[in-house]
Amino acid sequence: MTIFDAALLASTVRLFTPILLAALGGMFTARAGIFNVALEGMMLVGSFFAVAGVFWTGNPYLGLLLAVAAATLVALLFGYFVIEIKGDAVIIGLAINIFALGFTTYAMRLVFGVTGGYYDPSLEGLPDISLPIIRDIPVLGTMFSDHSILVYGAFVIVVLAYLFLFHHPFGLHLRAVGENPEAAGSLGIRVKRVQYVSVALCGILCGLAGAQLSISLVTQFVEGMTAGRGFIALVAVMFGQAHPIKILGASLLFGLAYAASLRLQGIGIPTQFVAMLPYVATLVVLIVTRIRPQRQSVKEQS
Amino acid sequence: MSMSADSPAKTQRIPSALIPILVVLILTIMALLIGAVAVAIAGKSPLLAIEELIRGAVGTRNNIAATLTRSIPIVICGLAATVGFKAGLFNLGLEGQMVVGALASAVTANALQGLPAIVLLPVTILAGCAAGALLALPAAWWQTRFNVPLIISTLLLNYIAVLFVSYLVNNPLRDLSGGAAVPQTVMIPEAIRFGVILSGTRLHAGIFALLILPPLLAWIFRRTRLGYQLRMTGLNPDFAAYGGISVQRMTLLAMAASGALAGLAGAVQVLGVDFRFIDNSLTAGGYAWTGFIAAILAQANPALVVVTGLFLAGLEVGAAGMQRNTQIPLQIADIVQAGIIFMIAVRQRVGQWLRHILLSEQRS
Repeated sequence: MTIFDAALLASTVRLFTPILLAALGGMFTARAGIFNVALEGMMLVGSFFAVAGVFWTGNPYLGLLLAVAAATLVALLFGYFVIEIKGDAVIIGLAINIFALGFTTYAMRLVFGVTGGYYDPSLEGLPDISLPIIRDIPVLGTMFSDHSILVYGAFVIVVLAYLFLFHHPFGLHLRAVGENPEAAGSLGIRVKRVQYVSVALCGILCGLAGAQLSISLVTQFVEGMTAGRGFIALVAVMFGQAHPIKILGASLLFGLAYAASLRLQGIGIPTQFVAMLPYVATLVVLIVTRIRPQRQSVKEQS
Repeated sequence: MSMSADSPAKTQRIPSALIPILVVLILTIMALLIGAVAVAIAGKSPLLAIEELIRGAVGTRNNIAATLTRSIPIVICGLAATVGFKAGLFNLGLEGQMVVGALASAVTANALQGLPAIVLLPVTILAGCAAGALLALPAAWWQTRFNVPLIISTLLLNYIAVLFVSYLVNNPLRDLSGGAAVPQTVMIPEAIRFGVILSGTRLHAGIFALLILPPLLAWIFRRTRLGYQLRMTGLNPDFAAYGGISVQRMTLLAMAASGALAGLAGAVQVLGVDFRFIDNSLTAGGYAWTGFIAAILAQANPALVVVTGLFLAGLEVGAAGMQRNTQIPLQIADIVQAGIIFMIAVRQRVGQWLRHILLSEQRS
């Protein structure tokens, strides 16, 4: 049995999407000068409401919409406490994560009447879309066809984020606010507004990321199912130096770790070691690249 | 609100020292209100919920004992987080450190069970502390040497440590004699188990740690050179380095101490409650995270950690009782805890507002 083949790469593309989407969200807040450890909680809320949306409406796209709306609300809550109240971004971020875990578990009991996890075979997940021409190309077809709309969407968002960040006036404002809020403010840029937009964009992307986890990769919600992906995405932001194309590369690396972790199950290696792989890979990347944290919270700057 | 224009009131009937305490009280009540809203959303009566919650936490002798028992690992973890806070560090790896500490103490106790209890007990406790410290140290080293943010490395190490320990207790260290469904180690020798101090309950001698550790830590922070250096590092690393303090050494020391305390919490749980290491029993309890919140709520004051730890333990035990009697999910406790942290973020605003109201009342 070969470990490295097209199926592994297809699985990588599927599994790296949540990391990529959340990391792109983290990129916007990082560019606005906010150290955002709340990606995890925003994703988790997205995962829950994606499943709840499908449960209530029967339509996976409405589930997706609900996931985005809910995660954006949580992101704005984070934004309010960090931007308006000027609380410590790390503490507020951790509070968001604790809130997300408690709230989703609470709501799971209320909505589905279960604890631990909710699975129902009649729940309809996001359908896989087959790409007309690409699917017939030998390796690329296996890799890049038959994915959910979120996988294709993530690649499109990378391009859009690049254009937005470097070729749009708002992107310029965003970067200016992140580098020096006072200077940006004196130039007439509305600093708080820019920061709120960055936080909202982060929420939208984390909602998409959460939906990819809960109504595409699988169709179920499990307590705390993000399992550190928000933090891995945060590392992808730092490793990718808050640049969309570099973040794509970083996320691919972590996606490969997740895919390898799935593939190595059942060939004799204890499951616990296999499950460690993404976390170990992330730590190794952190240490090897000796990256500097972009730790400039709003509070420190103002 | 123009606070700065206020002239100092000459006849303050309410001393301003009380204001911080009033602020914490008000914030806690506001956080409980958030919980009440969540209960109302569930279509239940918030008043009933609070009544059941209080009854569950302190309503009977047994419930009080349960709250006290639960507060032991929470307070010790809170003290572990406090040591980190003092040095300006966020040790998010308490959970992993607690779990490796628990396993190390269970394994040590069983491996050396021939030793007399008077020797074996301290060795067992030290093994737990050492394991916790060993897991915390690499993160400190990576931060000082490679600029790896501690807050991320400690969090990732949690997953790795919990999985590794789970592997050990599922395979080489698993007790196969009893045929228990849950992976667990062999029970530790009876001679070193903590005794129950309130008959008919599970409240064990580990509660004395709550009386010994906070004064000890407060003394180290306030009265010793090392404590001073730690605090300076936390307040302003650049200034500390300028004053000749090695920030690297302080970071390593603070993380080792923090990890050791988290490991101690694990050891105490093995010695006093489980009498063996049981897979997932500590992570499912959520002690480490609650301890972290207790430390935030106590503003890194060791004595206050006991108060906040007891309060949060009561909240969780009470919520479990409330779930049994009212079907309101016990996770309401987590929502209230998150609410408390949000409220802490707004505390300065509330403090300003309170001072404003109190002072203007006294003037009129």
